[in-house]
Amino acid sequence: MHIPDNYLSVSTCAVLTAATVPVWYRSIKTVVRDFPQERFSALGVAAACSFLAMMFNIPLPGGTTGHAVGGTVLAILLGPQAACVALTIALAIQALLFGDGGIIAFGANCFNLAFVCPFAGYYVYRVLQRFSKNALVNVAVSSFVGLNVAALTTAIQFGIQPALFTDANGQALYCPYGLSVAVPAMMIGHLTLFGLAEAIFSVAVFAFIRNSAPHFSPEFANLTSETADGAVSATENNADAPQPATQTPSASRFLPVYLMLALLIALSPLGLLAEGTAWGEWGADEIAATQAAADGPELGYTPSGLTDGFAWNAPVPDYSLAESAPGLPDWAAYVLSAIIGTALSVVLAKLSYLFVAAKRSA
Amino acid sequence: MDSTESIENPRLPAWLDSDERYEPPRDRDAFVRRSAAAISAVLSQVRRTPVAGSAFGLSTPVETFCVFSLVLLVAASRNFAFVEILGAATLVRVAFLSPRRLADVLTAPFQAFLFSLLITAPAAFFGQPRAFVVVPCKTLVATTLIALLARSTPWNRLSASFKTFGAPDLFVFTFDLALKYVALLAEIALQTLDAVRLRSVGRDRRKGATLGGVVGVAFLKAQDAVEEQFDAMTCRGFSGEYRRFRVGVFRPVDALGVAALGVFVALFLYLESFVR
Repeated sequence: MHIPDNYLSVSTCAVLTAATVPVWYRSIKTVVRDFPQERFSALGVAAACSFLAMMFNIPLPGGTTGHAVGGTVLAILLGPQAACVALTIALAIQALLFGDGGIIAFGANCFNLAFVCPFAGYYVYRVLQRFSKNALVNVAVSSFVGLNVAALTTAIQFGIQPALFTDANGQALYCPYGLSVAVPAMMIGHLTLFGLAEAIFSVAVFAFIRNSAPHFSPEFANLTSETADGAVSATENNADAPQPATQTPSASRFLPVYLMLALLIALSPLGLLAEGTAWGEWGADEIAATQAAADGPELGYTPSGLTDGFAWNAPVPDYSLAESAPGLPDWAAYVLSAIIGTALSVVLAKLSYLFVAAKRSA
Repeated sequence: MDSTESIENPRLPAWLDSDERYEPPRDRDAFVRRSAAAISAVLSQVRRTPVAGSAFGLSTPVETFCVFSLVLLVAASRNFAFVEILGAATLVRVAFLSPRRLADVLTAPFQAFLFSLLITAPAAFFGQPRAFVVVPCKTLVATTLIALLARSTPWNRLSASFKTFGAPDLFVFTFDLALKYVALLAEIALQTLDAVRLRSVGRDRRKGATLGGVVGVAFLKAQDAVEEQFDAMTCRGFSGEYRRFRVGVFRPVDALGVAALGVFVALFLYLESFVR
């Protein structure tokens, strides 16, 4: 779902960035107001978690791939504003360091993945909580909805391009597929496999945090009566504490969360099993041969926006070191990218605390 | 008083009656201010030397040895994979620091990174885009390792660890005194700069020329101070020989550190074999 550069016109990107700016503003303001220093580790871990979730590529018959985002579960655990900040950090690292998602399209990607996905999922979860107390089911449903709403907005952004921007020959300048192709192509994958993956990932993270590190999230102060499984003890212990979010989680209390990240990093090479490129993320060399549908005709041309447009040379393109570092197998490079991305997310989140501290003292 | 009245008043001389407003031209003391700020920054860093601790939990001599070896390996490596792996390991260590320590450790390496980006920028235009990436990254990794060591180890332990490696006493003595005197000299320089600023009124174009004076004063004072210190040490029985009173204990965790270094050396050799 990462939109590469030149798939959307610059004006579309500008509009979406402008739409995201107020969200960033509100989110940063909320984080500055509510987050004590210790919780910035949680913010970094959240960014790292989402970064890793997006590295697990899942293949779909027909040659495309997709991945979970984890936006909804982060929004449930830390609040949608904090999730927005965390996802923005993860997306920035992916775009700048690994070339995953465009630089010009950064605002558009943040709109879909850091705004629509967590906020939509979060409010669906809140509504569901009123009707059902089974938190795990609610997490699964809301994360599924969150991811699909984000996929839909992405598909619409892709789909309006050929209607708005064509050259004299009627060929599309940017994304060549209209709404009738883009929406089904994106949604089929996300309504089935990727949505399922997002739901499973979200439930796994939610259940793990609830059982092993409930102090990670203020959410678990709200879950007072839980009937399901072993969560009872964790939540009951937690109910005694008036505001677990403001306690000081020491490094050892975060240990389960760090172990979870380490496990995700170790498993990340699974993402390499999926061959092919995600829908809407082809390179300029691939797009001419792509098919709108599995049995449809090939596109047959490369939109001129893709050949002449801005191209960012990421230091580690596509999480691979094949060019710059001979001798390192693909899986090792992938793990290395996962480690660098994870650690960098935490470092950036912690450094952003200094900005927050400066803001508070001003 | 109105001016027409004073003209009519013969007792008040005209020059006394005219309005006079002296506004000295704005002084340009950016040089003094900036120097003072830079010195204060150094001073605060020197004073913030950690009381106890270590970057990787090893004893200081082992840690110093490992860090210097890793820096050498980074400098020597021709396979970028090694730089990336060591960079990732360093980044993971750094990620566990508190926000303030993090900024403290990363400031200097990041400045070095930007500086080396600047000086290798021409390489990108002359057909060597790899150097543009590789050299700054190597700089970043190496300086971060050093910064981690320097920011978490008390300086007297560092000079003690030099002795462990059999460095000559003169070297240890100079290193030790230099560290102690950085703070003292910075204070002298700050005071001198203050004096320069206070004594200049109005625009003074020759202020830049006083830089030599500031440095000279600091140097002369340092000379005196070192002589006094040496005399004082001699009076107390210092014979020019440094002895470590506490023999460093090689703890089990140090063996782990050395083993990790061994892994990096093996990795280095393995990855270098792919470079033609």
